Amino acid sequence: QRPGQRPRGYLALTEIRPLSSNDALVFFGRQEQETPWTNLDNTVGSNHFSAIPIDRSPAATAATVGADVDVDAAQSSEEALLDELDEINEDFEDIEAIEAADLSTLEASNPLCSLHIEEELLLTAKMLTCSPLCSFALIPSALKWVKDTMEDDYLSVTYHIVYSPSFQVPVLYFNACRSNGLILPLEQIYESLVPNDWRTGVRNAGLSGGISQQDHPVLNVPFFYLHPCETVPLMETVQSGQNFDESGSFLESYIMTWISLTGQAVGLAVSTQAASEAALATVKAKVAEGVENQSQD
Amino acid sequence: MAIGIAPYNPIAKVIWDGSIPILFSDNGVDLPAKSPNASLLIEAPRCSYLSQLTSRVLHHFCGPAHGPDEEAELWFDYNGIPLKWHYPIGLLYDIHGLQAATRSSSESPLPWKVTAHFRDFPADKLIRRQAVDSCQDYYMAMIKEADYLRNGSTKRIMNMSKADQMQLWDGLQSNNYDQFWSMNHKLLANEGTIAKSLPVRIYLPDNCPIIQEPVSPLDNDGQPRTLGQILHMAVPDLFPLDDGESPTAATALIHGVVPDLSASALWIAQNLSYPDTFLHIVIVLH
Repeated sequence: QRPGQRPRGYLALTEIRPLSSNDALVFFGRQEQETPWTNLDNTVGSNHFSAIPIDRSPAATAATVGADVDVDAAQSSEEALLDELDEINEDFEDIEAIEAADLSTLEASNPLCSLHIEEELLLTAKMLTCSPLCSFALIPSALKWVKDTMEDDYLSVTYHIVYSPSFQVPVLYFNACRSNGLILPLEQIYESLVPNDWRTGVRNAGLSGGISQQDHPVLNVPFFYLHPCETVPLMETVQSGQNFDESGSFLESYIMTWISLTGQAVGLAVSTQAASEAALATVKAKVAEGVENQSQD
Repeated sequence: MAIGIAPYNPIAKVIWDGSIPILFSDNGVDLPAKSPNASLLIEAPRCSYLSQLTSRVLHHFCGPAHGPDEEAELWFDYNGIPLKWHYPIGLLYDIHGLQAATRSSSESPLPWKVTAHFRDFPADKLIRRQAVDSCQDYYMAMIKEADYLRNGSTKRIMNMSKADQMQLWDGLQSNNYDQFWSMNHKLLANEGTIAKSLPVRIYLPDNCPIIQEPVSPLDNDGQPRTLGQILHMAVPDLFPLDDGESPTAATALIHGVVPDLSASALWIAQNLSYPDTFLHIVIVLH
């Protein structure tokens, strides 16, 4: 490790959306520094992958969970995928127990302390797979296999959740490209990713819209991102107005709420029960307020 | 619009007046015919941005008729590396000219020889420009982030009037020290309170992820931290505390000069920041 480097983890999700249908495949996992998510041939070490086939309707089907998979053992045949899946399903119960212990340790200290939130993002991969999402484990070469066998043109959308030490909130970075690999420009991002009823609100947020480009803090290449300025007051509002479910952890609810609030704005189709309708309503009200204030300037 | 005179600060003025001579050449491929004036020499303020030179470069190489499409496609490289137009020119030179120079040639680094490209914008490496708006957008995002670090809330910057924002931006665009600093001074003064955290970005060689971690200007005993202590917290291997005033492994550069590591970090941040109110420190390895 070179001097000055510190491990910077982030959560990565890649969605493959065939243009012709409403289905999508979501691959997601934890990623460490210096290994570009999209360059699977260079993936080093083990990563946690889950693939979540989803449809656009809110209902999600039953869940299975992924575990750490040794990338070097990856094979590309479908049979191997299914074998891998069976093995992983057997480990499910063990993983659940481990995660419960991890979460409570983190919560013992201040869950929003910056030191812990970054670690917590790394655990989110496991947390989300415990939620009622449909998921099954794939090995990374499967992503390539899926892309190669996809007959229709598709949109590949990559979401990274990176913790911002400055604003002390998670920040959503994302890029989208078609099967030819060309990155979508801003206007097409609005058209393809931002749901219709969010479009005006997102465009009018902040100085020149809620979506801009910035250098990815770890990869140092251009990514679109949602201005965290908007997130900070939103999350404060949500926190103060929310009674999170007593049986769940506060931190899990915080992150799930954050993901569904910010993800919704840019089409991150992760359905979750942890974010309540009230939280979403609060956000929409804030966005509408922002639109009103903007037009009064 | 009342501009006002900036408070007397000879150090800020010297930094504002700092410049880099840049020799622009075209890449020999994009333009249809060899232009009669093959190169363009510009004395560019260190505190300005490459996007402010767009018109002059296009005018020189392509003639007066150019529109937003041409402006959006223009990009620059040095030694094959696309130059980030959203970094101040002084920072770009410190990174690509000074930080990289110790490895290679004996050739004088100035004038800085930059190649202009008019096509094939590398959208996978450079943020897209939609003319001046993207630059202002990015600049204001940096201002917001720095202000949040200083006072821990977005309220002040979100309530900044459009007129004030434009005064900052116009002052920067027209290289008007008084116009810019009479507004910038208010941001840095932080309403008389000591900043909660200092907006600092530290650049290591070889495209290492930038170190940007909130650091308080005061230590746990309420004493002001020195620049050396801040660097030690960020990169302890390169700036060990017992090295005294001349660290052996690396040198820190701000605006191309080596600062005194025993100086108060807060003072350095208030006087040596760039117009985006961040302190950009480039580390050169020995």
